[in-house]
Amino acid sequence: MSADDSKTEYAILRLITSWLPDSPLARQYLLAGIAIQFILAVALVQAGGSYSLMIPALGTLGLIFRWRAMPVITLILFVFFQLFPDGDPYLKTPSDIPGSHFRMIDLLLCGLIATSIYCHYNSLSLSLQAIPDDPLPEPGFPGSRMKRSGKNNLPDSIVRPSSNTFEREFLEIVAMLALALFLAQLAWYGLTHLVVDFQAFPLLRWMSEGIRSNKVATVWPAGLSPPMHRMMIFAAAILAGGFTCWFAFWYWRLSQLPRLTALMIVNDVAWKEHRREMQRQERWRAWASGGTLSPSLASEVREWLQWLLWLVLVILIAILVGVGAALFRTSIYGI
Amino acid sequence: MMVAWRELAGWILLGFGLATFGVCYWVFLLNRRIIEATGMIFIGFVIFRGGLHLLKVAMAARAAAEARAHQSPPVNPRRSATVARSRV
Repeated sequence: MSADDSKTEYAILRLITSWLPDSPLARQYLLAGIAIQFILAVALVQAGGSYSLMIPALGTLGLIFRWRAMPVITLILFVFFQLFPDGDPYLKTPSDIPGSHFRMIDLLLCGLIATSIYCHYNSLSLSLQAIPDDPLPEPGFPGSRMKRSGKNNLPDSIVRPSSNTFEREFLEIVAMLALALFLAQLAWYGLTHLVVDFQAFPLLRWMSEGIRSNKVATVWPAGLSPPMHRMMIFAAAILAGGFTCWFAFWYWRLSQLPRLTALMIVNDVAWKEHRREMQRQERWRAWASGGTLSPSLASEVREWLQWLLWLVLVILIAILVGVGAALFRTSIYGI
Repeated sequence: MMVAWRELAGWILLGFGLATFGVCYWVFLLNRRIIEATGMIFIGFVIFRGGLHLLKVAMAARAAAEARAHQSPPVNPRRSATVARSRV
């Protein structure tokens, strides 16, 4: 083989692979993403959706042409075609999602779509930039004078350096995705097998087979429909989780308090607790040393009257609330 | 020691506050006593906030005390000025 032939082959090879990114890991993510799109197409055909084939098609195009919006669009389309397999929301095709859990096709579809999105974003972050910059603020707003470096005042792209990658990154993420899928399916199993019981402690009970198949009880517990039960359990779980997270982070921030902030909190609390006594002491001290702040009897009486007025007001409100409650009970229950 | 007692009191008040919310639901709301439950919710909220406040103060006092313990001893400005003059 002559040198000219090898040069020509090299040029052809460069032309064919010109759409691939320079970073080896980015190429790995890109090719894995395209392979996953093909598997996703096969899985979608198996699941019975013909229109949903546009998802892998768009995903592949997005990967090749580095379209940043495509992961979000494919995810929205995926959810839409899962809810409405015929692509028409008005056909009201019964969805089998509420009764399904730990189904192989569900696991496969969710895993594939999650992995393809992960591959897309990682490929973008290693070759272009994963997420676009925030737009520059309009003139007149704070920060509008800030200018970005780069040609024509355009922002420089932030590319993840190859040195920032680590060995077996791809495998670890796939294992994490598998774990997330398992936990999600477990949560879905719980949502579809628990019912809210307002009279019980702790407000939830395991659904009996008779209720679930709706053969014994035509009306579900608490007079709620199954989707309402699921929605309430899901909302309660979100609220409980949110409260727990808030409290954990609040306590963690407290345990990491810097010295000055801690001193400020302690001083603030001490001032709030003692300011009245300190104010009185200072007033008497100034009066005793012949200062100008003499405690006049009128001001003392006025202060006491103010307190008395507040006390009377609070007692009146309490009496009114009590009388209102008694009247309400009489009118409702006749007791 | 006072800090530890305050923190313990904070946790106890937090628990009491949450228990009050439970009482509101299982004792009052399930028996359709809405007005009584409203007052009890207010009481529970005050107890809960009191517990949070005690916890915050205890943690802040502990952080301030630990920072003071780790701080280097203060330098006497009069003494250092005398030393500087004698060196000159």
